[in-house]
Formats: sequence, structure tokens, C-alpha cells
Amino acid sequence: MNSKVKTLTNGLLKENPVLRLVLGTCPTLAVTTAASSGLGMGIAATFVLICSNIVISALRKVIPDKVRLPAYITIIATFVTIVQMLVKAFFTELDTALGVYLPLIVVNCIILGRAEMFASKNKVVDSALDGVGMGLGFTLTLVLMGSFRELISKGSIFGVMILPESLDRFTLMGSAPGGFFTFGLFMALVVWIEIKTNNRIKRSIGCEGCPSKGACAGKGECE
Amino acid sequence: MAKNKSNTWENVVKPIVVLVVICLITSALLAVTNYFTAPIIKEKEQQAAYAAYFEVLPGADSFTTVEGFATTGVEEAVKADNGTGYAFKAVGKGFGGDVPVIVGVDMDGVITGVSFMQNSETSGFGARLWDGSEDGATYAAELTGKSGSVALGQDGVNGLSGATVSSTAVVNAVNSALNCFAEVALGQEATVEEAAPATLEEAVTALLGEGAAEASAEGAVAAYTSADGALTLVAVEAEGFAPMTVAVSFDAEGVVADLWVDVSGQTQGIGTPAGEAAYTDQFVGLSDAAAVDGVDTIAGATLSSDGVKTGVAACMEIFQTMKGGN
Repeated sequence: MNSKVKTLTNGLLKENPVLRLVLGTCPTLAVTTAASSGLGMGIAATFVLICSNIVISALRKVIPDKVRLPAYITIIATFVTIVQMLVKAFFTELDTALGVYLPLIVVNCIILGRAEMFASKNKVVDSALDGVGMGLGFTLTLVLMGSFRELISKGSIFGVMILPESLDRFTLMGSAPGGFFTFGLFMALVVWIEIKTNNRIKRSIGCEGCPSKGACAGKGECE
Repeated sequence: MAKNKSNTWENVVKPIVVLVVICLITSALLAVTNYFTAPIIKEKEQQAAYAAYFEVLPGADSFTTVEGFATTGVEEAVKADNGTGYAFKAVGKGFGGDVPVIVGVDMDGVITGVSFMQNSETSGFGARLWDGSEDGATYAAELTGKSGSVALGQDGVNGLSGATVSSTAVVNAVNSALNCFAEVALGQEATVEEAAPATLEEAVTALLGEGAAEASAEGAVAAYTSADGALTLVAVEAEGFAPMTVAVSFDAEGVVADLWVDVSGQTQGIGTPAGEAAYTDQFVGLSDAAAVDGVDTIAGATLSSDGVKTGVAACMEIFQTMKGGN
């Protein structure tokens, strides 16, 4: 049972997909302009992640190695399209808020990355738990970053005005440069937490530091 | 032999089979989801498209599209289901292309609201209609409450200062909407605008009427006088981006009555607006070369605009010679 809990909580901090594995950076920067968009994107991506992890894990012995990427992408794209249709039909405001980043979940590296790194090598239940954990970590990060940026650029969180009207808003935080600032800040925060809890993970660059190190056969194998 | 067979199965057949099965299952899943969500999505999209109509006809609760109307200048007409009136998406020809205008008309033929959609008019001028500045709202308010037909400079309709062409386009669009209302709500005959003349012969008929007689004029490509002798038309070849025929009709005093320009050789969308009424109407009523020179050129279409100006000035000169009697 311990290992199941470990799998679940992995994605929250130790292997946080955005801040530790540095996957899914594009939607992170784009949708964290407001806390609610971050939450919506996180939930949509988590749903896709769990479903695709379950299916890919169930088929891991069936899909030949040669065609694993086309197969994974087809499965992931199907779930994203289903989510997109459901969101367009029942949550139209979210569709407008996420815009093009909703269909872009197909190429969200977190989902394909976890499929390669975890689901293709582990049992269904474990893969599902990993999906939940990673999704939670992703959503949590998006909500925190979104709240931070929304608070400073608009003075509200989830639309609720927090800062008094008289305070000038730092609107730069709501656009691209602000996104990068926030990203760097949060990464520094995670490293600080690691140091404080004596969990400092040495980060290296190149093949040594790549989170896909275990799955990858070596330099240049990505083709 | 057996090893070969299993290799083929492993390397060729199995991957194909697995992929095909995966694709079949995913397609089925997508088809099912689409079946349930497509109608809901379509309805939501239609509500959003109608959002503009709700803005100009506040009393309405839902709309049905009106089919089969013939009035030119109107792209879409919808009728309010609760009988409060109609709304139209009308288009006028502006400086940079189409100027879309949404007009709401109540059952008495009175305009209930006007709103402007995105257009390609010049920024700071015609673009003030939709860029959120107050001028657009003021103009919309000037048009609200009018009925029958509207005209610039009449009845409090001032338009945008410094953007006459765009303001005229709006007036044309609003009139198209009112004409369409007359057609669909009151059953009157549709006002269908004729297509612009494409050749010099067609232009002569359009500008002078039937039975125009040929006249002689030195330096002109052709010259005609109308059947009643009141109007004279002079046509010249001018140099724009490419050669263009400019034909101007004058009244007895030498004042420009109308003109036609063959812009088929100019760059589509850039130089061709030099031949459209929005630009050529500025020459109507002028009678000397200095006034012609004072007309602005279209931004980004200097050669074509200058071609029209030199053409009109040349026609004027030839007309003076004709009248003066050489």
C-alpha cells in the first residue's frame, strides 16, 4: 500500500511535472493568467492523463514497440477530442478561456512523457494512480501560479477582488514576461523547500538531468 | 521457415493490426461523443452568433433566420420570435472594404439599435466605429430612432468627423437594412442594386441613359452626349498602377455629374477601391482642376488614385476645349 501512496504523491512535489520534470511548460505559461483558467486546464489535462495512462497501461503488452508512438498519440488525441467536445458543449466559458490550448493538450509533454516513462512499464492500477498524482501536481501548480499572477496583475483570485482598488496593478505579470518570472520564482521556491527538508535533488543538464533518462536508450535515440 | 513467418507477423502484420484496431475503437468513441454533443454545441454557437442581434433589438428573446430576401447589401436577416421586430447584418462599401453594421428595427420600421462589427477601415478614422472609442457609440445613437431612410448631414446624423467615406458606408448599410425591412416585413418590392458597369459601353448607358450619341473630342478615347443633350461624357486613358479608362460625365456648366473608372487592371483590393463609389463620389460636383487635385489619394494606392485624378482632370480639360469650341 505504501508504494501506491508513494506513486500517488510523487507528482505533487518530488517529481512535480512542471517544476521538477519541466514538462508542459507551454500551457503552463499560457493559461496561468488567471486562477480559474489554470484550474480548468489542470482538470482537463488530468482527465486525459488518467484515461490515457489506464488505456496505454492496459495495452502495454499488445502495442508493438515499433509503433508505440503513433499508438500513444492516437489514444491521447482521442481523449483530448472527447474532452474538447464535452467542454464546448457544457462549459463554453472555459472553452473561450483556454482557446487553442485545449486541443494542444494532445502534445502536452506531461501526458506523452508519463505514457513513455510510466504507463508503458507498469500495471493499470499503478498507472492510474500515477495519472492522478501527476495531474494533481500539474493542477496545483497551475492554480498557484495562476493565483499569483492574477493577484498581482488584476488584484483578484478566481475573480474575487482581494487587493484594494487604489493599489496599482502590475499588469506585466499577466503577459508573457510575467509568466516566465513567475515560473522561475516557483522553481526557486521548490528548490528552497527541497533544501529545507533535506531532499535536495541534484539537477544536471544534458542526458544526466533528463527525467526520461530511464526510458531513453541513449543519445539520439529519440528519433 | 517458422522463424521467418513469426518475424513477418511480429514486424509487419502485428503492428498494422494493432494500429487499425486502435483506430477503429477510437473512431467509434469519438463518433458516439460527437453524436451526443454536436447538437448542444451548434445551439450554443448560434446563440453566440445571435448575441449581436440581441444587443440591437433588446426586447427580443430568440431569433429565427429569414430566408429568401433579395435586397442587396444585407448579408443576414433574422426575425424576433416574440414579434418585437427584425435585425439585419448589412454591409456598406467603405474605404478599406466592407463595413458590417448590425441594425435592429421594430415593427413600426423604427431603428432600435445599431452596432458596428470589426472592419478594415483606417485606424483613427473609420476604425473608430468598432475600436471601443466613444465616436462609434455616438454615431450609433444618432442613427437610433430613425426610420424610412437616413442620409449623412440630415436629421442629426453627423457620422464620424474626418471619416466621410466610412460614415457614408454606414449610412448605405443602414438604408439597405431599412429596405430589407420593407421587403420582408411590409412585403414591398426588394431594392436590388444593379451591378456596376464593366465596360465603357455599359458605363455610357449607366451615366447618360439610352440613346447617347457619339461626339468627337481630341485627345479623348471617346466622347458621347446624352440623348437630351444635357450631359456630355468624356473618356480618357490614364496611367495608374496599370492603364485605366476614366470616363466622366459633365453637365452643361462643366460640373462633374458622375464618373466611371475601369479598375480591372489595378491591384485587387488595393488599387481597385479607387474605382468604387466611396472614392469616386468625391469628384462629383467639382468643376476645376485645382479641386480635383485636392482630393486625397487612397493610402497605399497612390498610383491608382493618382490615375483617377489625372484622368478626371484630363476629361475636364477636354470638355472645356469641346465647349469652348476649337
